[in-house]
Amino acid sequence: MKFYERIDHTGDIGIRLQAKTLKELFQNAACAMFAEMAIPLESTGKSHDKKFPIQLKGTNAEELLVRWLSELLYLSDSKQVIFTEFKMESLSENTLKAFATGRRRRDFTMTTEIKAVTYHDLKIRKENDLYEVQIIFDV
Amino acid sequence: MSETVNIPLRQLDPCRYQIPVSYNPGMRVPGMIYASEKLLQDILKDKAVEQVVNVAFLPGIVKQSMAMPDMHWGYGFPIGGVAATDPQKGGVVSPGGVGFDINCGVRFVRTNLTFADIQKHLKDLVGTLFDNVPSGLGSKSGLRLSSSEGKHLLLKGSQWAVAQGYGTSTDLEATEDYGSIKGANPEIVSQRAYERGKSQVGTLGSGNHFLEVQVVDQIFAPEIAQELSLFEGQVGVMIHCGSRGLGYQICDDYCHGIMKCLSKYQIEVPDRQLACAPVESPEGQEYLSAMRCAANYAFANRQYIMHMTRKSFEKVFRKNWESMDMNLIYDVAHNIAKMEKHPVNGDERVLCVHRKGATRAFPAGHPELASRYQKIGQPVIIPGDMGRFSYLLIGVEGARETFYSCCHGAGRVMSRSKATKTFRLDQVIKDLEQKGIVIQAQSKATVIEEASGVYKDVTEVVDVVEQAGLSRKVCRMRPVGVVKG
Repeated sequence: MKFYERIDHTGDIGIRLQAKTLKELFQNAACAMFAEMAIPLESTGKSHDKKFPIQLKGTNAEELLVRWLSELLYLSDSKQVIFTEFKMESLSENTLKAFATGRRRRDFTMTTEIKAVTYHDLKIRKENDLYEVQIIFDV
Repeated sequence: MSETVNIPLRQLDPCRYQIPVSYNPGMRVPGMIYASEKLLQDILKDKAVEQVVNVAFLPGIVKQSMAMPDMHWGYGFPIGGVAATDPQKGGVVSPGGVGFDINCGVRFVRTNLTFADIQKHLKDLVGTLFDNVPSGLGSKSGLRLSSSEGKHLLLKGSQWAVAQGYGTSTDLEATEDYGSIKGANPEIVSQRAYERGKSQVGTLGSGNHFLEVQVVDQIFAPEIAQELSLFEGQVGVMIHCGSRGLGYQICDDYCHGIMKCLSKYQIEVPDRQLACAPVESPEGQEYLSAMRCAANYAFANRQYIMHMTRKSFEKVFRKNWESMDMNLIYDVAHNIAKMEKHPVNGDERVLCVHRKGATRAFPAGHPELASRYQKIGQPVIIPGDMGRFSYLLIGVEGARETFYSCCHGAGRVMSRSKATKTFRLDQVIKDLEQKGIVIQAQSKATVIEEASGVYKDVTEVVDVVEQAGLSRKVCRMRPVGVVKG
């Protein structure tokens, strides 16, 4: 079973996911975004891992989430990398320190071009000890 | 997908539905949806109508928040949304009213070839176009620009491309704003945007972007068609793409920055993706200057792709493009904010017109049109889907009520995930083959997600804009060759 679900959005792509902690929510949102973008090839000769440090600020957790995913999209496009692992070193409501690790795009079949992360209908909720968020991507 | 509930729609005539300003206390103007009864059934299935209401909250919005018959759920604005704001009355500019793919647009190039001339070369032609025009996710251009060339491109758009030999001055007359919007400032564009855009000039991208070889198969306005040298059976090429990673990054950079303007200027909007700044504020002016850079990039992108299209035809047919009369009919932007003069209550005002999935449609005699369109009006290019039709319309005076705007395409009616569950690749390709359509695409997923059935019938859409008096149909084109990302 997928760790996130797709929302039926007419023009774009939407995802919904839950997590026990905010850190996990941020990590899973990034995993889900790249799962929508690319599928790893099964061939051998994979490129070496590329690791990028990321530090960001925001005025609240939702803005920070959009900035986090936008930063990963920028790095993915400009460095031609697909990220597969995310380590959140520290995360508060307005600061984030993390590492993202990935491999060259040539090791993947690209499926969807995500142009950007939007703020539309974005809300992080906490219910019964679970964080939940839905995110709409422009494709 | 949640339905639009409890939003009252007052039918004014067979293709106008008004949302009264009294519906929500935050609305500054009424909403107006252009649709037929049939199209409205689909429109009501998602959140697009709610988004028309949300746009009516924007400070300084003039007359009404509008949506064209190809409308569907977007982010912030609905796709198909049109809103003009008056800077003198606190009017705002919203990056969400333009979108991430700034100046996504369409151009149509005619030839003097008929379908009979190309039929036996069609596979070769589509293959050559597919090889010469990079498409698909992360596709890279053969062009490499220095930093100073990149800045010049952002300043001059298609004019840069023509100066490099990728077209002629006649192409510029057939491009909105002559392919170069004034007021672009490349100095404020982030390094990140340059980095993302530098290797993508002349690339199609993916998703709904395409290059199609089409055949004119029906003429509705013979006198206009004749003025544009269009005839039944004629082959043309339609190119649909935008500003690629550069545009996405510019929009992203300014979305985050403009979010702070909501508290600074005490603006309340129901959706953060509608974040905005007064047009005349430093933030508003800076966004517009950067947005124009992306718009110019998109014009240059389509100009270079047209150049490669001409080269492809030259290679396949062993004639030069001039002798095949491969002249540009027109190039239109459909994701953009423009400062334009419009009459408001008897006064001429300079307004900031947002077109988010909507096309400018100036009538005959409009001072911003090149002399050759003065008599007939501005050509308006409406792409449909890859299995049915596209249309060429012409701007008319009736579109004054929409600030001379009309629809931009067929409009999606089915999400990508539903398309994946509904259609199979082999069946989509077989259906196209049965219609004599040759397709080459980088991604199988794209072919499924762009199947004909995910779109509204573009004929119904253009019939509404014609019936509403927003544009007039000139001719219909059917696709015969499709290049997708």
